[in-house]
Amino acid sequence: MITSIRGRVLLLAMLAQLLATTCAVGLAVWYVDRALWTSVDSELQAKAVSLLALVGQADDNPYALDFDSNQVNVPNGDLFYIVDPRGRTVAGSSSWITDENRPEPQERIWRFKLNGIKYRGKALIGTPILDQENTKVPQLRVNLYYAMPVARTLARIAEATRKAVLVGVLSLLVSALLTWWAVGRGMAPLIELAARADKIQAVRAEFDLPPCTLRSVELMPLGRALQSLASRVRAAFDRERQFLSDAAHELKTAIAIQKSTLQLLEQGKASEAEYREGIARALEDTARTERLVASMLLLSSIEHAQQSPESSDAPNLHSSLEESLQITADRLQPLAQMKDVVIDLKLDGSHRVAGKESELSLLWMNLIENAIQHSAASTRVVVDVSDAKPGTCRVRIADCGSGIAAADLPHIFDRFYRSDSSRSRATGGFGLGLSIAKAIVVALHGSIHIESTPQRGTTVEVILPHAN
Amino acid sequence: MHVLVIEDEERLAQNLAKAITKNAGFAVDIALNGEDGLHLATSGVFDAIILDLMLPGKPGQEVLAGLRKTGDKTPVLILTAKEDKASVIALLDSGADDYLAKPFDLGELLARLKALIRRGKGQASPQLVVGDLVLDFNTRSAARGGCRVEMSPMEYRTLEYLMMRQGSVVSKEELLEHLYDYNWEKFSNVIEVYISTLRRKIDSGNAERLIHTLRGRGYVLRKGEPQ
Repeated sequence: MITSIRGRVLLLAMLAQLLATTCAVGLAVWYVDRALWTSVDSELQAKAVSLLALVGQADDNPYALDFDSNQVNVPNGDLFYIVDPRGRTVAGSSSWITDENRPEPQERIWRFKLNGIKYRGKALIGTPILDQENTKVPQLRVNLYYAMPVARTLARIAEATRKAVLVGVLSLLVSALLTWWAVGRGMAPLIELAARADKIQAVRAEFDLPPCTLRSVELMPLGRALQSLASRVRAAFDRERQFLSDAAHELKTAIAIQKSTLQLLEQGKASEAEYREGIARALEDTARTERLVASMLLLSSIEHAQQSPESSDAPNLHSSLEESLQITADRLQPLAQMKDVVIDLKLDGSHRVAGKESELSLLWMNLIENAIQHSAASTRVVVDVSDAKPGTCRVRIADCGSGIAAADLPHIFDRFYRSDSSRSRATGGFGLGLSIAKAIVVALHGSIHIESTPQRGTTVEVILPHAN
Repeated sequence: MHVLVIEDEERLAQNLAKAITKNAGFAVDIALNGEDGLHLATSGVFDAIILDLMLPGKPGQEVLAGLRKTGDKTPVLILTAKEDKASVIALLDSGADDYLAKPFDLGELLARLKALIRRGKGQASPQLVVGDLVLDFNTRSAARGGCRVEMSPMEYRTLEYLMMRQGSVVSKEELLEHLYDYNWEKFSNVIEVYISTLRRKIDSGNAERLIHTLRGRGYVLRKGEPQ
């Protein structure tokens, strides 16, 4: 089994070429052979007839035959024998006609070997003589045998055959080389494409289509596919790098706070009360770091779960939308009271969605808590559930709060993005809440959309498919 | 000395302020976002600025660029989570004087801050000397003619500032701006009280007067005429 495409193409081309060349050479040799033997036979015929012309009636006896031996012009090496029907020799010698090389009665052309020399003979049996003047006697006939050596003809045939085969073999070689070169040239863009594809790295995933690819209809799809793969890799890598950089910044800041709190305690002398306060602060800082790490891990696990195909244990889990909203609202009641905000749940009917209760609660927790945090005092956060397009339901969470600036809207789902940070920082957020909410919605095959008017309020709309 | 901390993590900013006040005795003001930070920084009353890079409103780089555009020469120490060479080079090239990567060591931060302030005032050595008066910036103590001068923290701060600016006329307003943070009630006669106490502790009993009052203009610390 040949694994190289070049080798396979070459082998196939050579097989076809060999077949064609063999046919051509065979035909050529056959044609030359036929032509040469035809000309030999014509020569034999001519020579035999010229001898026949020398046979005439004897002057003395109209029934006897005479041969004008003076005019005989037989090349050296040729053999002839003329005999009348009664077996009387008219001319030539019968010595070369032996039992072995005598022609069969029906044969007019025959071949034989005499003293190691190959001959071709022509027999004119019962041929009327050409020069019969006296027509009163019956037509006189003779048997004429003529033979000539064929060494020269055989040599010419052999020569022609050799030449034909040589030309055939040469053309085969030339076409093998041409095929090898042409296939190699044809494959060059593929090899270049492979070399460039090999250089694609996550760090700088760049892929320029080599110009040769643009000229090849077959390679274009591959080139384009590689190009889009490279850009996807680049985008994914950039996203991860950005996330890592942001995560590093958040973690380093969290650790910087802890470290400075502890180092502050270490410096100079402090009273017991100061130490106690310092330790309490350090613990607060640690708790904050812990929350940050937990949020990052949570986001990562939700995003990872939605990428892995075997995460389809969710369809079996049905949760009540209303129940999860109610539970979350109850949990957020203390915060709402503290901020003097009323959570207004408008729940009617019952909707079940595919998804874990814990995930749904986390989703509502993030969204409703955001709404409360950004609400002005003595306002309401309205949560209502309605039917959307067939098979889906809509949850709207509306607040009358500070709203989101138009410039921030496209980025609010970005990880670690904080629009108005002094506010977000004050509420202890890390800029991961909405990223987590979006990851949960995406995992549940839903969609999330935010509309906001600064100083008027924000409305979050979540569309979730019903459980089957 | 008066230091501005521009840092959006309130807890970190407070820790920094506490450490600086406690260990170096400097007045500290805090800005929690870039816009406020730039506004405060351009007021020209700070002897050094600690600037975080990742800031809401206006990123640290923009604050730095905005500050340098006004021609302000206040030393700036950058706090950054990025440690790669390229970003450090870009920072120093755009006018920062020093940088520290988070999480940093408070002791190192204080040492760098003090060095930046010293350099900013044109002093190479932590020992500031005028005649036979020696002030040690690190131990926060002073001695005249080999005898230690006992001072309250505010008296020391006043002397430290005058020593840093030795030979130049320092107005009462300048002293107020550089010795107190913005939350302090400012009374210019407080300065007069400190100056007279310092003069009593340093100059009385010595042949050479070092603290001079220029009526209507301020004070100057220099080797001067004998009493």
